[in-house]
Amino acid sequence: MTTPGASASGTAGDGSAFPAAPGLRAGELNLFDSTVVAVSSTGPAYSLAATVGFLFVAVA
Amino acid sequence: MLFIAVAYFYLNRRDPNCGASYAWISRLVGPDIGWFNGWVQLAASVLFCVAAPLLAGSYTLQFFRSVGGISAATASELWLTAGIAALWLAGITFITVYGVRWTANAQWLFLIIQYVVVLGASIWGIAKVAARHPPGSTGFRWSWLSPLSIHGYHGLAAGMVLGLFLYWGWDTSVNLNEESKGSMRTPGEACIISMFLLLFIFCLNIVAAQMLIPSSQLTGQGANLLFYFSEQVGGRWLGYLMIFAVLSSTVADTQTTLLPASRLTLSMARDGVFPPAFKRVQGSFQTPMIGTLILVGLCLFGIFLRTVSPAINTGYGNLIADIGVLVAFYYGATGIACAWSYRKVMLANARFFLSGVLLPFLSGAFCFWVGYEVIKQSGAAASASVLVTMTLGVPLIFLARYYTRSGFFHRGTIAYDSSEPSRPR
Repeated sequence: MTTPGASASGTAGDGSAFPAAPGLRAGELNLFDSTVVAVSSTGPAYSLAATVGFLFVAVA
Repeated sequence: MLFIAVAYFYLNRRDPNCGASYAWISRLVGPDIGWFNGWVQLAASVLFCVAAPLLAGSYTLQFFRSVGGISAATASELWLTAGIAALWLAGITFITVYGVRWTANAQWLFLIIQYVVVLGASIWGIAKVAARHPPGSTGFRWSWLSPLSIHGYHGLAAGMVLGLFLYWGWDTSVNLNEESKGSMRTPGEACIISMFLLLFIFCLNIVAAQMLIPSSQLTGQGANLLFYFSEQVGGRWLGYLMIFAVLSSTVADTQTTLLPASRLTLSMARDGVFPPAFKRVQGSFQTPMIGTLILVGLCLFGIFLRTVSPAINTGYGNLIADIGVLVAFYYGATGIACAWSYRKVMLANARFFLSGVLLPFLSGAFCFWVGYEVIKQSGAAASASVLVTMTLGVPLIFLARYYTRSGFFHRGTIAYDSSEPSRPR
């Protein structure tokens, strides 16, 4: 399932040095970045502010 | 939730596609249900990207009001809130379009602010109870963490939908798989690690709040509880800091909802089932700029609608339940799809059967039950907005089928014949 533009690594399936269309920036995020993005995506502080007050009501 | 994250891990290591849940379900279960699933994730994202900047606007004003800059009347001004919301949205859009590196850097900053303030306040609160026993405070009880103390199924579903909203978002790292080092492993691992980091901060804060604040006060605070707690712990200035932390969280959350939405639409457009403008990746930024800007335009329109029309504002005002139901659907579908896709090899070994098939299936089924139960309990009228939003996906599938030339809707589905990752790239 290789699609044009799927990868930014210079060697596309046809062996050319540059991809025909610009792709996403491959290999930019390491495990720390990914974890930070994953945790931050849930917005811990906001989620707590928005839900916990109601959580105590819902399960009481 | 942990086993939905595990399902993402197992599915991502076979097929690291930035459409994630949408792409996998299209390939493994069926293109129509996959497209519908993508629609649901997109709808949840857009609804959230309308609501979150408005919240950021109102937290910004609340912050200025508490430090004494503006009056209460100014702080609740609708158009001012909408204006600040639009500014926040524009700011994070700029970073998101500018590049994934700067987006990740911004997320580091936003996250550090949140963790320092929330962890600091929670630990300080627990220490305060331990050292001084303020009136109304109680010691720690293990029963707080036990699900057995929830009273009945009603409380369970209501609590769980809040939980879904509380945890929603970790799958962003999977939508960034094509931009990650080790795209088959790291995003899935990040999901699982994030579960534990989140569990830790949530539990610590909830325990601290229960220890410090008398139970009669706990239930009356609603959305104000976290700020009330901070003021009880460290006085007014900690309350200000907490508003600042929650503001940074809201802004970060807007960005990390826009980000996966732009990758999802990129993947859908690449498959030829979404308008081609969404697959254009801008050369030097290497981000799907046009798609992102279209999505943001849609969100700005939503912000405008909610500001001019009180009816629309009320209709989409029950954000937590609405998003909770949409998230329950697409997480549930992903959990079940994981079990389904590995059905041929599920008996390969006991550990994989448990973690890759049985538990994702049960978690997925449980998500569906929570969504169903929430709609049932709140009634058709209160769930109208979410029901309409989901139903709208059905005619859109036909529209997509009509315009699609790529054969996407006529591809056969596949079942994995190995539980191991596919060949490393």
